[in-house]
Amino acid sequence: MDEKTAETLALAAGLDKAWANHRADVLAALQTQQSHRGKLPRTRNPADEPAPPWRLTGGENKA
Amino acid sequence: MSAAPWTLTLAEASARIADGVLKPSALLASCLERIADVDSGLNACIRVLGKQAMAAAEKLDGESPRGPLHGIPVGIKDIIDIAGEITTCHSAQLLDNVKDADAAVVARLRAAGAVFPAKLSTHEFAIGGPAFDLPFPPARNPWNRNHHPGGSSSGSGAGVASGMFPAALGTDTGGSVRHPASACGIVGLKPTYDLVPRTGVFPLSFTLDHVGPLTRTVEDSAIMLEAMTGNSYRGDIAGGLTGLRVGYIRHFHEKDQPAHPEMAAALDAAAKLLEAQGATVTDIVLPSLNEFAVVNRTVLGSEAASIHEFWLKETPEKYAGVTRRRLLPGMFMTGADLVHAQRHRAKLLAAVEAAFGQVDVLLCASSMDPAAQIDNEPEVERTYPRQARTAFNVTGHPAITLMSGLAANGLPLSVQFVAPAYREALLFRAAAGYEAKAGFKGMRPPL
Repeated sequence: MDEKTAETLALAAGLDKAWANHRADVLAALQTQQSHRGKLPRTRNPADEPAPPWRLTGGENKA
Repeated sequence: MSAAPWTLTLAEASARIADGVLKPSALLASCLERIADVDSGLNACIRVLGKQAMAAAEKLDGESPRGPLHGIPVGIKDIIDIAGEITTCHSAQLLDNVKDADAAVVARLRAAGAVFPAKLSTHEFAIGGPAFDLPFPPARNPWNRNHHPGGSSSGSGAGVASGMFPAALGTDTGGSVRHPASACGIVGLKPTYDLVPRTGVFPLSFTLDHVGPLTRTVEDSAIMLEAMTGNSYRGDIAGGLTGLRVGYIRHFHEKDQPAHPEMAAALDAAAKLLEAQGATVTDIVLPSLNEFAVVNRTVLGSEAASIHEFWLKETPEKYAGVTRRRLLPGMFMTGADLVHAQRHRAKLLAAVEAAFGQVDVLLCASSMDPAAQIDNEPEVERTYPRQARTAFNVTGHPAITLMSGLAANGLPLSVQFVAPAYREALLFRAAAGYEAKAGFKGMRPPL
């Protein structure tokens, strides 16, 4: 990612101070996020619903 | 001559208090003396609360024992509130953050008779560490002070392992109770998601955060969880391993993230021990650790960004560099990223639930490596994500880690057991059965 694009994204996220004073950290964060996004499975099946862990099946010991 | 009280496990100290041969104030005094003796080299404590804890202990001296936690000193990770005390989260952002009330879990422990001798070091906001650019130094490993004690509940791990207190509270969002337990050779439990209330605990990621105990034995872990929940977990803890169906997840440490040879050998030895004790051990295949990890990072990043957004915008300079670098990616995640992660999370949860249709408990790695040197940043960064704990934050299943030996360099090795949701009693039975025969119970660092 070129620095101009990175600056646009950082400022759009409201990270003006971080961009001014911790630019290397912001650039590293953008690189990290791009890497994560590339690895994240992205289903195209509309039937695949999100299921957070509070759907865990309950047991007799549940508080 | 009897052993100094600080050397006792929670259960041993509790029995002596119940028998009237040890007073809560004497136990606390011994623990405070131990803190004074060893903490200058370990940095487990951010603040020692000796005066407040002693006042509580002396009051308990005159009471009939309330239960097994009567007079037991419990260290508290400094992202968990104690009434009247500061919760710093080990950060310059919150140096004056005095709290009015106990966290719900602290209130339960206090009602059970626990006293609180110290607020403990953590990675900043349970994510940024080890760091040397914060108001407090990072905790160090009592087995070798040049090494990392694991994190983020690093003071909890170092403090329990070195005998400062028999138990501590930590929090676990991507493995932060189980990592210090693994690195410090003690027992770390992440209970089922939401079994232990999170009220009064500074959040890192709402749907991944868990509060759990760090102790020296499995029995002590069960005693702590009983007080933290009001449930019973010890009825079958000595039930042994005969007939237990264990699923061994080899691919986590053989293929997904190949483990250090000594860690891998300790896992195989654990599987053999379980079989020798009457368990049936079969291989189980789950999705790869990398799938769990990317879901964890996306959910954690998004939820943490929503918590830290104001400070990331207004006072980013007050974070340690490592904290900033770990929090900032969340500011660039999209709503679609988060929902995709939650949709894939459903598939991962279903896979683990399906495994529990075949076996009673799972056996797998916790850390892939012994603890790295604390000041070797590249090695800390390399080894930090090499673990199999995150998977069970994503799914919410209860998981426990305990010691499985010592590496040639003298640092602890570890194993992890996982059980179906709300089956902590079964988890304790499996872990206690292993602990009883493995030969590492009660090993302490040579401080």
